[in-house]
Amino acid sequence: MRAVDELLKAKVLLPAIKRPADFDIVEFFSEYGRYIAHLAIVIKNDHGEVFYESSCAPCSMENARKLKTCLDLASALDIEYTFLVYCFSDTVLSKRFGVVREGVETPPFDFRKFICPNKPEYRQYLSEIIREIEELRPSSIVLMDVRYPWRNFCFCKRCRSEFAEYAGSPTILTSSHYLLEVLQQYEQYYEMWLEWRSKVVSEALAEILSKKKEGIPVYVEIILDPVSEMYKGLVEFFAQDIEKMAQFVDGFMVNLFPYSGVPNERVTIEILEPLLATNKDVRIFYEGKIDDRAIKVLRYISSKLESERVFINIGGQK
Amino acid sequence: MKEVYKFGIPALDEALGGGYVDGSIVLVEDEMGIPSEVLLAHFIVQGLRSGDDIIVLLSEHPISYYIALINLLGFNAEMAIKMGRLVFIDAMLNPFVAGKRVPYYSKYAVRNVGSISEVRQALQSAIQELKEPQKLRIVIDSLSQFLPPLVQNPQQVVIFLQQQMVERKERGGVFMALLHRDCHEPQIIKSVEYIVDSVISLERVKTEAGKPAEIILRFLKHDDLVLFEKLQNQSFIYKFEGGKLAVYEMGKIPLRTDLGW
Ligand SMILES: [Zn+2]
Repeated sequence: MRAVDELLKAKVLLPAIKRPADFDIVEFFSEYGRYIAHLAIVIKNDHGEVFYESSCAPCSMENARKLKTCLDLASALDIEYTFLVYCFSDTVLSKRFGVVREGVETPPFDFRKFICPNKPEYRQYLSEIIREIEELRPSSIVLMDVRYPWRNFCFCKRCRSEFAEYAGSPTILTSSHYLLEVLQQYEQYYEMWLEWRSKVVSEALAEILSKKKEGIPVYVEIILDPVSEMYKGLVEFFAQDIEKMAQFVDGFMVNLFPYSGVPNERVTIEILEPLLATNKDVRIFYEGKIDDRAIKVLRYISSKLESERVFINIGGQK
Repeated sequence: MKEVYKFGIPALDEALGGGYVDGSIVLVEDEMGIPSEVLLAHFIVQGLRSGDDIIVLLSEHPISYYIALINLLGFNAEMAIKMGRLVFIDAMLNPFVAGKRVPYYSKYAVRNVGSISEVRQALQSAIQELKEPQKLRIVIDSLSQFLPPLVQNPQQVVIFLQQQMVERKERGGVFMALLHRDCHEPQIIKSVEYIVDSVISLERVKTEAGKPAEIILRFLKHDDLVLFEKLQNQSFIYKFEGGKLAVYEMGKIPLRTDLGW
């Protein structure tokens, strides 16, 4: 942790707190407060819990108080704070709005916590949470997990029937169970399916932000893992179309290797190019294992990006 | 750590050693006219804040009344209903308000006057829709509609409570039902008290001559006998301050009400 410590103090890396409930905020601020310009903190986690007094999401009084202390201290020390909001991952509600997997392919994380982005009630719920956290005056908001979990999702009733309609209801799609394999055999339908999924995700993004007032910039998380051909992989795996999403946000936050946890030396600034080409602000988030190689990669990326934009998950390291 | 079910009312949660343990069957006894539903609403809202799923069966109030109570406590009831975390079962028997019901709020209804077997069925379907919830709170306001003199025989309620006892111990969750003590013969109250794990009583008591009666909350029974040793010697004032429910132990400095949500 020594290297991270130095990089935080040198303002090369910015701290991100992924588990505010288990984090000693006061201790952290007394150690680092004077060096930190900007802090990212999870305000709604992928369990579904929020860390402020919400009128619609679960939250313990103790955790809400803890976050309030954190925000008060940050304000007193003139530290900006950004909120990370886990969107389509929510264990509390996934049993009701969860995704349906097709086939045996299993993503490298627990997909059971994922929510289908094609559920209007849940989108409204998120928009309400965004409306509420705006009142806490963060300097920016980052929307995490605005995506389908993997390429073999989602085959819930709603997704199936809406896609069939989108594709003009050909027989293969209106039969009671069409499969991913079938789609992949008919290339035109597979392309259409990818197109349709990314439309769903972009519409979900727009709806999440529909109650937000102007002013506080919004970022959306982009995962750079496990795909090497980022652009193709993003759409195919996660249904994230950068250009479509760019219409609704001020920037992107690239989550580096959250699953493989293997920082690769081949990773250079070039992989960020499609994102930088959108002329939107680009930030980095690293939550994986912190070792020398990770530090090397992060330091490199940080030096290539103009400002201090690399957030690193501190505390609660796996 | 063991899962507990709090009220979100510091004085009561503290007295209960953190809250009710999983599997508890709780009876709240009151006298007609005491606003006990506010206590139940606190229990519901605390559940929503804790991520629990809630089923509320109402036989004396329209659903919209409870929605208003929950909203007043700072939780968006409509949103919780949409998220499927709050399910109402409509068992209103009053024909004068029946027409005003908004069907969207409740998919489940008990139409057969005083039929506890219909209550059981509605509860079963509601639980099924929640897909085996991890933490469940069941609230019934009230059981009085299903006991003599409103029905002939108390036996059905006794069996119902015994079934709940078995189910909650097996599958988890806390069951809380309200009963109006002054509506029933004492032996009926006794037979219901006998089954449950914990009994809270709310009654009007004259504490000082010339002053209006206060509502006093007491624990009449609790299955944790060590805890009950202490509970049986405690009384709590139950009152409204600035429109908010304030519960504090008699003889102690009132806990700051803003410690709740
Ligand atoms: Zn779906």
